[in-house]
Amino acid sequence: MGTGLDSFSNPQDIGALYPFVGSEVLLVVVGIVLWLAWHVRQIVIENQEYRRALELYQRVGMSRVLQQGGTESLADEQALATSGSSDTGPSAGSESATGATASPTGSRHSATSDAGGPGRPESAAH
Amino acid sequence: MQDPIEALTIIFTEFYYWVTVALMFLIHVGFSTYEIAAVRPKNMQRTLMKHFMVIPLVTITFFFFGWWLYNAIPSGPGITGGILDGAGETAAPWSPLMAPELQDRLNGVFWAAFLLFSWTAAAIVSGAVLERGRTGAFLILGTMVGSVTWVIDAAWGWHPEGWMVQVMGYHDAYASGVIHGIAGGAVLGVILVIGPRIGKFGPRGEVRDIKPHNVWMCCVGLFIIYTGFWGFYVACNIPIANISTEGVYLSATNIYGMPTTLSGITFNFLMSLSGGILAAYLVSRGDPFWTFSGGLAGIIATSAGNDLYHPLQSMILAAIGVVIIYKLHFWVERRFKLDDVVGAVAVHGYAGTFGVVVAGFMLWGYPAAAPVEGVTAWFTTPEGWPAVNPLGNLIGALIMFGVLGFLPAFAVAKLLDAFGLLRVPRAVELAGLDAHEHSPSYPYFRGADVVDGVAADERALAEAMDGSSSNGTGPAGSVAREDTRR
Repeated sequence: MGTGLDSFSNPQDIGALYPFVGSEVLLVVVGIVLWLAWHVRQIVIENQEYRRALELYQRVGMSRVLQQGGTESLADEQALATSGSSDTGPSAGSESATGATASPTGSRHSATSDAGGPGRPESAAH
Repeated sequence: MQDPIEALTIIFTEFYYWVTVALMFLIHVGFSTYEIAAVRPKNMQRTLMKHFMVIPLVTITFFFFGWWLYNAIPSGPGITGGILDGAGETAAPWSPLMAPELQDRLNGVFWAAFLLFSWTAAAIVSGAVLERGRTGAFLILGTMVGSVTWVIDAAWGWHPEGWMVQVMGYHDAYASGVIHGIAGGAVLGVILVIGPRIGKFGPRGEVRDIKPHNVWMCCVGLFIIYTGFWGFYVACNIPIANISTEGVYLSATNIYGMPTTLSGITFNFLMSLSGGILAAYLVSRGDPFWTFSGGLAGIIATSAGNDLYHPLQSMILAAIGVVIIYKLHFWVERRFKLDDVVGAVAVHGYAGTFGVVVAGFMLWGYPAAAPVEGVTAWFTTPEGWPAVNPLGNLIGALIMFGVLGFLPAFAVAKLLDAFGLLRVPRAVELAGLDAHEHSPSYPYFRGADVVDGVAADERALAEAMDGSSSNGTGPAGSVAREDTRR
């Protein structure tokens, strides 16, 4: 059993060094399909990401997203989902509405604890 | 290989190109560093990934069809001939020569050197979408420029049998137009469609300066690009070739097979870099970003003829080119409200176009390449070879920047935009591209309000200078002449 060469004794007679000579066209077809599929999958993933982001920002309110520290002052998604369920309205953009503050020490943790949700551990959040 | 001299020549050539490939990686280290530094922290990670992911995509597509395009279509096809003989054997992705093959030692390193040029072309385009473009859109645009459009222009104008070389006498030794012109044109096409970043222009149209978040890292990135550019220049040469039409005379040549020397291009690389830096420093009044960019633009503005120029010609032309592109960048920004975040249209597009046009005048009458039988050039040397001339290079520059650079990128950007796939949602742009999916780039970067002894001293001195407090003792050390007049 062999996949290609079994001797290097006559180098002047050796051409291709790779195994499975003859499979090149098939390899190219597989490669091109994988390449195109990668683009499609990448676009789908990116669209999903933006959709999730927009849902989050709508729930929180853009002005709060842009507060001091930017999104660093936001709770993680899971905590926001929990706190969002107790919000009084979709524009729960004020600090009191979510129980979070844009304190210099970062309100990610305070929002999480205020909401009473488990949140992500810090290592995952950062 | 049984002849020792032949073996040494081939193995030296193989190693020569292999080293250029390793050096050219630095261009992309530099590009990544520079673009990450140029954007605001909220966009850093997505900027990095966008730039990084185009590398494997251009690599595989250049394997699938890019290298074949370069080898197959120098004649148009249909302008001076058809598909070139041997292209499939050399460069079709299923060819045994596109793999480890004991009787061939050069195809892989040639492919890789061209691939690294392709990465550069694609990387330049990434400047168009900074801080507001979708990653997927850029990956499509970058792959198109890196593996299709620049390869077409290289086949036409950067191949000894290219129809632009043979008919028009096009000369562009180190790719002013072939890489930089086309990529700059593509950037222009994309930024026209994608539009400026939120807040870049005020309500009365005034231009707002959105600064790099880390100027020194921007400059270090550009410094690294210079380093990688050495590999780029060297890879554009053929190290050993017989240039004599009668007998044997071995020399390095440019990509058209016309003689030059590594020593000569070393002079010109350094002198054009210096001319660009010196001019940029003056015209930008010492702005670090533009001074470092000016070095790069200086090289690009002379690359078309740096195989043959005198070093002082290189220096002066680089300086002139940099002043023009700097002024043009800000004029276009004000006049047309185009948001070219890193000045890519200027540094690559305008400088590259300038370089090609000027080379047509400077090298007027020089042989462009050995003639191909049956092809008639517009202008010829006394020996009947296609001659470099201003008209050929002017039209060539327009083909590079406009026809192959601007138009395809504009059309594909329009298409992506029609599907809503070009620009990120406004809320995501406001929050930052990294904001939702990635953790903060500088999670512990909260030192702005720290007050230490140095800050306290500085504040006290500032108050004293404002006259709001008096502090009897001034700072230690010598006193500047301006301070003595206060």
